[in-house]
Amino acid sequence: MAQGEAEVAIGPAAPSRLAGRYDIYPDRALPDLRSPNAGAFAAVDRERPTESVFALVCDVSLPPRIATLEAMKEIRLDSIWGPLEWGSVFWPIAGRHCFAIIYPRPGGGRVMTSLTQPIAPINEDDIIHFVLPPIIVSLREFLLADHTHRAIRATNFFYRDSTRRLMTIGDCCTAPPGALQPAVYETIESAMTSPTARGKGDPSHDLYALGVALVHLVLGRSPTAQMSDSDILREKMNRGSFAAVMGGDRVSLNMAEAVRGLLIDDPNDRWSLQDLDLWVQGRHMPPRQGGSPKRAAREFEFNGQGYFSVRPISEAFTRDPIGAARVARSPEFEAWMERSLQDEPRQKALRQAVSENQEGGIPDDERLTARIAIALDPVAPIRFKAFAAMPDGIGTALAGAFYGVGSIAVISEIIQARLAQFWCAIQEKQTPEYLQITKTFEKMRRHLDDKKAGFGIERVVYELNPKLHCLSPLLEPEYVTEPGDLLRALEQVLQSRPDDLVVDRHFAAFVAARSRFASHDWIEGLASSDAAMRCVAIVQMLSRLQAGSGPRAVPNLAQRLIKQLAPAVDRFRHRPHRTYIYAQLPKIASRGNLTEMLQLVDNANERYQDTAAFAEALREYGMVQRLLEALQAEGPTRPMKAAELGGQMATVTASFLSWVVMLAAIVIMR
Amino acid sequence: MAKAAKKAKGGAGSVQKKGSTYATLAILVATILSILAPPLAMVLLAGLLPSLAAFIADRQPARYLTRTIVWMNFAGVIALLSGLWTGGISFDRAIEALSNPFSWLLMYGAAGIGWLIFYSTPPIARKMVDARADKLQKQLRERAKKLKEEWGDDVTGESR
Repeated sequence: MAQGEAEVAIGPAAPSRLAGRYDIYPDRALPDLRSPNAGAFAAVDRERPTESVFALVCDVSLPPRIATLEAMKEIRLDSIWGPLEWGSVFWPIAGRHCFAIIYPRPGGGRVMTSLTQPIAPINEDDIIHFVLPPIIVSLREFLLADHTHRAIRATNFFYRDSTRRLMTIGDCCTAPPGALQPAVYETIESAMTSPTARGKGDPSHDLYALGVALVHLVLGRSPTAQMSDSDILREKMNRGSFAAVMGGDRVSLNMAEAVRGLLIDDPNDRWSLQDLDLWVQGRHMPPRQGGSPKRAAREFEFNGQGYFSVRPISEAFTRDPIGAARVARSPEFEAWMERSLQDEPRQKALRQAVSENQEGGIPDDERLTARIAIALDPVAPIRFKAFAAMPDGIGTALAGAFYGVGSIAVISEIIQARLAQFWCAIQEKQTPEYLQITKTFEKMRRHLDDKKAGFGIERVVYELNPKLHCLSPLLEPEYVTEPGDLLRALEQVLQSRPDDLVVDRHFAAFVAARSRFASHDWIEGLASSDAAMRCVAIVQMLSRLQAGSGPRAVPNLAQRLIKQLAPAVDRFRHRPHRTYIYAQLPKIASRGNLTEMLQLVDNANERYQDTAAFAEALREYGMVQRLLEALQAEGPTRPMKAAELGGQMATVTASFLSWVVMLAAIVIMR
Repeated sequence: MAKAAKKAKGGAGSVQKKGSTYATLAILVATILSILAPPLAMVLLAGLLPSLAAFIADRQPARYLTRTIVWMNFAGVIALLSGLWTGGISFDRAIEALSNPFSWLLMYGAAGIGWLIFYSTPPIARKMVDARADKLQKQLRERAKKLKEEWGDDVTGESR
C-alpha cells in the first residue's frame, strides 16, 4: 500500500456488488484516491481476488461521463486510469443507488493533494524522461478515440508504483468534462464558463491543462493558489495565460518553452500533442506568437470605464445587459466599431445579433446582450444572466441544474432564445459539429415549446444527456439509466412503498427520449384531460416497455395500476362487462402481464361493440318508455275498447250459436 | 287529428251504409218471400220483431247489439220454420205455430238470449283488455329495469 493511501474503516457494512463481480466495501474508504465528486472505497474482484482494484462512488449531483467510460474500456491506457467496470449499485451510506466506477488501484499515492499544499518539486529531467512520454502515448490514444480527458490537473496525478517516478492521470469520468477543474487549469474561454457547462472541448484544452500541471509539478506548488478564480481569469485575460499561471515564478528555459507553447491562448497556435512529443524528444520548437486581438485607435467608454478591444467590452456588457443593449443600439457604438476598431467581421456579427433579436417576439435586452457578447467575442461561451455555457455543455449544465447546481429557467431561456444556434452561426470556422449542435438545439426548442408530459425541459435534459438516469422522484434513488431497467426498478420500489404509481413528467420524458417505440401515441393520452385516456396511456407506455425489454412479470406494478384503472374500465357502459373486467383484473395482475391488462381495458373491438350495444339499449329504452306512456294514455279509452271487443265477442258467440241451431234444423228436416 | 276524425267519420259512414244494405236486402228477401211463400213470410215477420226493435234501438255505429239479437232471433225463427217446412207450408200451419206460446218463447227467448249475451260479454272483455294491458305494462317495466341494471342511468338518456 502506498504512502498516505490508508483505508479508513467506518464500521462494518455489507459490500455492495457491482455487475455481479465487484464487491465494494462502504466501510473501507480510501480518502487518498477520492475525487472531488466521488468517494473512493476498497473493492474486490470476485473473479480475480488477487487483482488490486478500488471503486469511485459518485455523488449524484453531476452526471458521470458514461460515453467516455465506454470509449476508454476499448483503449489500452497505461498512464490514464482506465475503468474496469461501472454501473449503479445500492450504496448503504447514501441509502440509495449511486453510480460507481471500478479502477485498478494505483501502486503509488497522489502526487499533489491540494494546490494550496506545496510538495517537493519534481525534477524536470524526470518529467521529460519518465512522466511525459507515457502520458503522451496514453493521451494520444485517448484523443484519437475522439474523446477529451478534461480532468488533467496536478492534484489528479498519481504515482504508478512505489518507486514514485512514473505517473498516471486519474479519473475523468465522475463529472462532466472540466467540471472539477480549477479555473487555472482551464483556457480563458473555458474559465469564463460555468464549471458544469464547459462542454467536451477539444485536445487543445487537455494540452493547456497539461501545461499548467507541468508548471505546478516543476514548482511543487501553484503560484496562483491564493487567488480566486475570477482573479485568475482576469490575470489571464490581462497578461496572457503563461504569465498568469507562472505568477512571478520561473522555470528553466527548456521547460518554459514547452509551458509557453502549451499555454498559448489562441488554440490555433497552441502546441499540439505532436509538438509536445517532439519537444520531449529534444527538438526545440520556435515559439509561436499568437496574433494579438485588434485594438481600437481610441477607447470606448461604457459605465465610466474605457475599453480598447472587444473581449473586455463584451465581458463588461454581460455584467450590465440593460445598459449594454442601449449602448449597442446607439450610433456611437457602431461608429466606434467602424472607425476606431475597424473589425469588419465583428461589425457584421453585431448587426446580425441586433437584427436577429428583433425577429419575432418581444425584443429582450438580456437576450440581445447575450447575442452581442457572442458577436463581439465568438470563442467565448454563451453568457446569459450570470450563467456561461459552451453549446455542448448546456446539456450537462441542465442535468446539474436539476440537482440545484445552476438555474433550469436560465438554461430554458437560452434554448428558447436560440443562443446556441447563434453561437454556432457566428463562429469563423464552420464544422459539421456546429451543424449538428444547431439541429439539436432547434429540436430542443420544439420540445421545450411543447407543454405535454413527455416533452418540455424534462425531455430536453434526457435528449442532451443520453446516459442520464431517470430523475423522476419515485425512481431517482434507483439510478435507472436504461429504459429496460425502468420496470424492474419500479417493481422493486413499489414492493416497499404504499403510494400509488405516479407517472410524472420526468418518467414520461425519460421513456420518450430513451425508448425506440414505433410511435409515442401514449404521449397524447397522457396530456388528455380525460382520466380514462390518461390511465390507458400509462398502461400503454408501461406495457410497451415490458414488451420491449421485460421483465416478463411485474405483479406489484400491475396491482398498483388496477387502482388507477377505474376510469378506463368505467368507459364500458355495459355493467356486467365492467364487473367481468374488475373480476379479471386481479387475476391478470397476479400474472404481471401489462399487455394482457391493456387488452382487457382497452380492447378496441369490445369498446366498439359496447358503444353499439349501448346505442341499441338507448333506443330500446326509449321505445319501452313510449309504449308505457301509450299504455297509460289509453287508460280512459279502455272501456270503449272493452265495449267494442264485447260487442264483437257477442256477435261471434251469437253467430256461432245461430249456425249450430240452423245446422241442427237442417239435420232434423232431413 | 283531422285524419283520425275523418277516418272515424268514414268508419261510421261505412257501418251505416252496410246497415242500410242489410236492411234493403232484408226488405227485398221479405218481399220475395211474401210473394213466393206468404205463410213463411208471416211467421218470419212476427218472429223477427225483436230484431227489428233492436235495429231501431241500437244507436251504435257497429250495431253489435242488432247483429247479436238478429243472429239469435234468426236461430229461434229458423227452428220454428223448420217445423213448417217439414210439415208443409200453409197459412193454417203458420197460424197454428204462431198460436203456440212455445213458438213465441222459442223465437223471442232466443232473441232474449242474444240480448243477455250482448250484455254479459263487455265485463269479460274489459277484464281481458285490462289483463292484457297489465301484462304488457309489467313486461315493459321489467325490460326497462333490466336495461337500467345493465347500462346504468345513462340508458335513460337523461344524463346526456
